[in-house]
Amino acid sequence: MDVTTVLRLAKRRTRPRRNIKYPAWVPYFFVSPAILFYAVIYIFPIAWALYISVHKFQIGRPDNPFVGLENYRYLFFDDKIFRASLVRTFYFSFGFVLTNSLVGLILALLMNRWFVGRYLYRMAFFIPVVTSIIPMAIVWKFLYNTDLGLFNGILNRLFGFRIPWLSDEKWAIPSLIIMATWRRMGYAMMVYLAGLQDVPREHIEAAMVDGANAWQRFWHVIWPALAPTTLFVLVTSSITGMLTFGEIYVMTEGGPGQATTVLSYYIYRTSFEFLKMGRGAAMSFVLFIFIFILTLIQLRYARGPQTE
Amino acid sequence: MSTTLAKVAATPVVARAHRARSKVWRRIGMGVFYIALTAVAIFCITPMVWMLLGSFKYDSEILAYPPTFLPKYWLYQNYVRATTLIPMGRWFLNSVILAAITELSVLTTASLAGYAFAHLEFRLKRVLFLSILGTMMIPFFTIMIPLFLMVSRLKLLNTYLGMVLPGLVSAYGIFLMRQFMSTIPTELLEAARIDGSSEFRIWAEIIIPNSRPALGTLALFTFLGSWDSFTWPLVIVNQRPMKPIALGLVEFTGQLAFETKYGTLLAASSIAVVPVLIVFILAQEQIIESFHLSGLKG
Repeated sequence: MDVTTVLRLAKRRTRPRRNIKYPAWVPYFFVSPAILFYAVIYIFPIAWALYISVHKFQIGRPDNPFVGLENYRYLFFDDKIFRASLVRTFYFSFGFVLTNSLVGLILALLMNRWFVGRYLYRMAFFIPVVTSIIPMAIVWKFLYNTDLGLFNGILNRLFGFRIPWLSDEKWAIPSLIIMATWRRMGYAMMVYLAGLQDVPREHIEAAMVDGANAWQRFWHVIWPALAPTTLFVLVTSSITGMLTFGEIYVMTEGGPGQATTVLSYYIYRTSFEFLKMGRGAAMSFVLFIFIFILTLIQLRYARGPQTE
Repeated sequence: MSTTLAKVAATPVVARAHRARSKVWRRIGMGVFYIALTAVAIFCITPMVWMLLGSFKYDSEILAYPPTFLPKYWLYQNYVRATTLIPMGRWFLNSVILAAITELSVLTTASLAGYAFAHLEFRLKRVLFLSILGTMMIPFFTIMIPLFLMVSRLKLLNTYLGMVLPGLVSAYGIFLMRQFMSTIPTELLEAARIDGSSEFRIWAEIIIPNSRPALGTLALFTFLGSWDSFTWPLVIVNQRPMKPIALGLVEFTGQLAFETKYGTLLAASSIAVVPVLIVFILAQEQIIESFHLSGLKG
């Protein structure tokens, strides 16, 4: 998701109009379906969510008294699971962001020229990005099976050990990180490939004339020029990581124990299994604030692939 | 000869030095390069290939070690069971219906609003446009609870209308349309206005036919997003026949893994993935090149 590019381009004005011949209400007629849907789907619900988050709101109860910031206070001071889920969210997102951007960058550097079969490789790297996540999560659960899964079969044959992927509290999040990276690295690669097009060719050639080897060219010329792209990949991956839900629901259901109960999953459970919607709404605003901050960073500093 | 010389002269010094390096090392380099890329590519397609091939295998063969690559016997019974043991056909149909409603709504609202934001002047234009784009940063989890309450009060739980609701409009879609429609020359619209065309007629007869590529891209990504939708149906649908395919599949997973019908589960998963795979293969170039516009999240 590329909020930056979208908002930056949105700031450009379209051409000024010379002579207007339509009644003043006509433009509003054109935007009204979209605005109406926005009001129903976003504007009204977000206000309602704010209202719920300051009430002791349990579905099915006749009275939902106002409690002020109690839900928020409870989260940060009394709810150990919430704090732990916050830590796990950062652990998962951070791990995913690092592996995703690193693998994406390496792939992009390798793919940044013509070679036989480039088209097919690009297709292979991109397949996981588009294929439906739920069926693939079911398949990954098979592959990760400790006793019968393909991965452990191969590991056991080659190196003589097994990894308790999803069944061990220590391994569960790294396993999810590997899967998330599998899914998104093709996208990171495409963003980096676009970024590499903007690295000034003359700078690289100048470095070559000066006798810089491949590593020096990368470290002193290409990497600094890629900084805005890197930031873009980091921020968008963080947002993706923080909103990860379906895979966790399918593969671990927050377990083993609570090892993969990240914030999104905990919001779902609190609201729709424990039916404590006041607390759920308060948590969802905490998530909102993280996403908001990340978006602001992105808007201010990052540069994604241009849309024109 | 002269052309060769010209070529040599045109090549930078460094490149010539590079070429002079031992050919053997270059070959080894290329070998390592291909091995590395191939390894990653295999990693990328393994889950998909394992699923598709596994869906034709006996349960015992799926779990067998060492794993077989191609099925020993090509078993189509898994697919039969996937459509008879569970309402896979119905779930598939549900997903198709949901995608159709979503497409219709997203394409209509986006192309209407896109035209106004690209070519019409009105007072609230910038404010409205920026606030629409601003909603992109609201995580779905934040509006999920009120939307659930709203849908349940309107008695829309377990209905198509309830399921499509959050996806009926797309900020990316509006943005995409506005960007694309801005490139349509104003002179064309002015000429139509002088001929007495109404704005709506201009939209229908000039703007829409000229926006086909952008509409196509938007339709593609709307389909991919709609086909994958899971969290929202999970919250509002509990009747079996109303589930979209991803949600149905998850219900099925618990049941079938318990009965160890792995082949059937893989066949069902394949059925869920194949439409997306077909769309991807047909429109690969368009999808990869414009993916950053799509707003698809992980």
